[in-house]
Amino acid sequence: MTEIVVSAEGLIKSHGKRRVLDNVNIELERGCITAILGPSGAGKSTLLRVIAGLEDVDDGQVHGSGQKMTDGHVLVPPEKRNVGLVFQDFSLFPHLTALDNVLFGLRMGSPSDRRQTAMDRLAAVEMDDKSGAYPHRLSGGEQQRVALARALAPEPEIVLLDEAFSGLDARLRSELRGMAVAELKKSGAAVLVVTHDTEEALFMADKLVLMVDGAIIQSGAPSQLYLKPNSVSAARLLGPVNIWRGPISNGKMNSAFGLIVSEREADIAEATAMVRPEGLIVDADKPDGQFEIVGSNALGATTELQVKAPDGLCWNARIATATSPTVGQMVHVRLDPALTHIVA
Amino acid sequence: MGQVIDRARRGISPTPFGVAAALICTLPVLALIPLGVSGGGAHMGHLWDTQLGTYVRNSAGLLIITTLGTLLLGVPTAWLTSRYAFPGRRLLVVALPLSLAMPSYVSGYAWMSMTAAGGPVYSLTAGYFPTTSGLFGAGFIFAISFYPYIYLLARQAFEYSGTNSFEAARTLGASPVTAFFTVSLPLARPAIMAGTALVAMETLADYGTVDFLGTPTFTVGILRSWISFGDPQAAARLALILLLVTLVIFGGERLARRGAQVAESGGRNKPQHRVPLSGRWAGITILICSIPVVFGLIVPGTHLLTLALETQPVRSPAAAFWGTMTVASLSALIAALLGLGAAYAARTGGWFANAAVRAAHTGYAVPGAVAALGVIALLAASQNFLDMLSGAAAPMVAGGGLVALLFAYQARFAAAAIGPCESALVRITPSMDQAARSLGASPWAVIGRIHFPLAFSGIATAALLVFVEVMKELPATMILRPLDFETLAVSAHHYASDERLAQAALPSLLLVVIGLPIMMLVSWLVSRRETENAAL
Repeated sequence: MTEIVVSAEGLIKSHGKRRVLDNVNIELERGCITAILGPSGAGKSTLLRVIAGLEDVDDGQVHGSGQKMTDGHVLVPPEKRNVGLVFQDFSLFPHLTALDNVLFGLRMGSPSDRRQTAMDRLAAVEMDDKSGAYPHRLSGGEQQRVALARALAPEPEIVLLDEAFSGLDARLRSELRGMAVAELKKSGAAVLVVTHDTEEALFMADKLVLMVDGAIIQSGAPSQLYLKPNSVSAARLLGPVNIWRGPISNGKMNSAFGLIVSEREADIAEATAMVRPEGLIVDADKPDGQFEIVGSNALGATTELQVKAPDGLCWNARIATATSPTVGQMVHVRLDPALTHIVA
Repeated sequence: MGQVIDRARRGISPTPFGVAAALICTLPVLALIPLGVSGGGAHMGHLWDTQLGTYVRNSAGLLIITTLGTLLLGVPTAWLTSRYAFPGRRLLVVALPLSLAMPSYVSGYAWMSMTAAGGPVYSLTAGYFPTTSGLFGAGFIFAISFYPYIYLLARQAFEYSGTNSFEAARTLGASPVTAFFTVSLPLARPAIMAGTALVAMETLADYGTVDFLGTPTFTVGILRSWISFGDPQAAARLALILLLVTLVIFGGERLARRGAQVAESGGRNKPQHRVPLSGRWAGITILICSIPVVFGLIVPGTHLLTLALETQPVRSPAAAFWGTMTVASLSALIAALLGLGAAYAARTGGWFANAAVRAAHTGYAVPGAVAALGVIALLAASQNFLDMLSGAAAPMVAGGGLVALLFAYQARFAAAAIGPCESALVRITPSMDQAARSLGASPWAVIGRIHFPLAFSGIATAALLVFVEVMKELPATMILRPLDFETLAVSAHHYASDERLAQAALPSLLLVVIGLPIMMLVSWLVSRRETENAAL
């Protein structure tokens, strides 16, 4: 049973000639984390700001709490929308302590109750021992925890995170992501995460939305999008992919690296097959391999290989470092059907 | 490698520059003290009985009116231009600071002449617009002349504290008005206070406006004691009182800002997201933001222009023009060198140089009349010393002439050059030196191709600011100028004091005409530097 907390329909917005929102429809559900992934400039942040009520659109509506919140112009101002917003630059109020930052949004209850709530919120992000510190005394990661506590303290129905972790270094980022997901789930709010970081989107999202040039190109479960992208650009947003273009005959495509089976029977003159690097199964033990390893980059647990087909085409493969062949070796290659996908 | 760079830099030790700047800025003030507390000063008793109360009342009244007026003009315009997008915004952003090019006394002449019986504003409003004079007249003139100090600093603060804080407050349930008062305004408060302190110092340092509009303050007292009564002791005492008041304001602001230090660092800055305004609201906003420029620059400027065109000058302004150009450009040059040296000293010279430079900074709080008297006191003291040494009357140094005048200008304005020079040097990081050296540049090439281009706009800003300030300076010039030496400011003041406002129009207009393009250049240099810094 899902409950739609906020929905946007037909959002259109242009900056000059550039479409930043191109007929965007999106629904946010209670207790569900929706992540929007797209390159910078795709209109993700604008969409988030429209939902927050910080920006008008040229056309389209935002509905929530049983009323129309935006109809072209902002009808319900941001302070009445019950949203929590976490910014990329944290945007803590530098003249207030961590505790006062969290208290800012708390207006209900007695002062001592509010204080207790704020302290609880800080404790939940392990910042209660620094409640009296001013933001400039806190590290980036600590600031972001306070920002999260501040956004969640008023128990908003909607929480919006705008590139909330991209200002932090990699290790801190993954650490905070885990904490954030736990807190957000606990809050039961409808959450929208905007990011250009693939790993972050895949990690956090219950539902993933891919956005390019102001338009949503695909949405669905993260693994679904990873395995069955509906276009090359959708596939590339979620990681590297090998491309083969050619005809489908008798439900098959005959690529340089082997047969790719189509789900449909119809013959098509020109179709596109996408194969994830880990979909190339490399066998170096069998003799008389036809494929040459021409490059190898160790990435830690896995190694990226450049594999050359007899006709000269090069594809990327990704296999466990422990079993990786070396450059110059001749190998056999077959394709894992689960990691190949054809779009017409 | 690193050592070579260090040695090239250390070739000239920067400490002496810091000490020189500190001496130039502080010695004249120190020399005033023995003069002020020495005997004599017969005029002082008389002054105490008759005038001192008036000076105090006028100064206090002007401080209150001017502060309120400049806040009212400066803060809303800064907020509107940084937070909202509306037609003409860019033009207004550039135009709003330009009222600084209009010296307040020039504005005073123009408004007085417009609002007096027979003036255009008088006839237009059938005499309902009050004649600009007295306490409220001077307060009005100061407000429309000095608001850019608050506007500039507040605007910078609003831009830096960013939209995000404001928007974060909105999503946390604050209405726009609440968000402004609980978040944006507190974040900008240190900057607004710094602006207010500058306004207060300018108000107390002014001589031309208050003298002309009949609201005598301490500066008028100092000049009367010195010029009309020839009583250096009384003048020095008044100067010390004025200095004390100014330093209290200056120090109070510093102290308050130190407490508010926390408010100065926040998250990283994103480009401003301005809320577009249209229709009625855009109209109202444009109106609010135009008022200060119209009152402070356009209306008085136009009036002066018509007045100057209608009037046949009794004397060519050429001598005054060249006088102004000479002292202003010499002072700008000296101040840039001193400022640069002091900034280098503050950066590399250790605690002693640093302390010296901080002392020099205080020079900006010294009103021109005080600096001039201080220079006289200093010269008199050296004269006594020389006489004593030689046992007879040594060659005269007490007159001093142009050198004394230039000295006084430095005592007041060198401090204004240190800030921009410091911010110019901050942009040069050691890693830039290392990068340039590793790319094959010699130490001299590093100075020529890296340091100079990076620091140039800051040094130029410093020099141009000092140029404009010296050009507008009146009381120090009145006290110290050689008898046959004229500047535009002095000649405008003389005509205006003689009620020959039409004759005052041409030199006044020339001041504005020279100052305006320089102010534009300064704001262009500053904005270019900001864009470059943003890219770093």
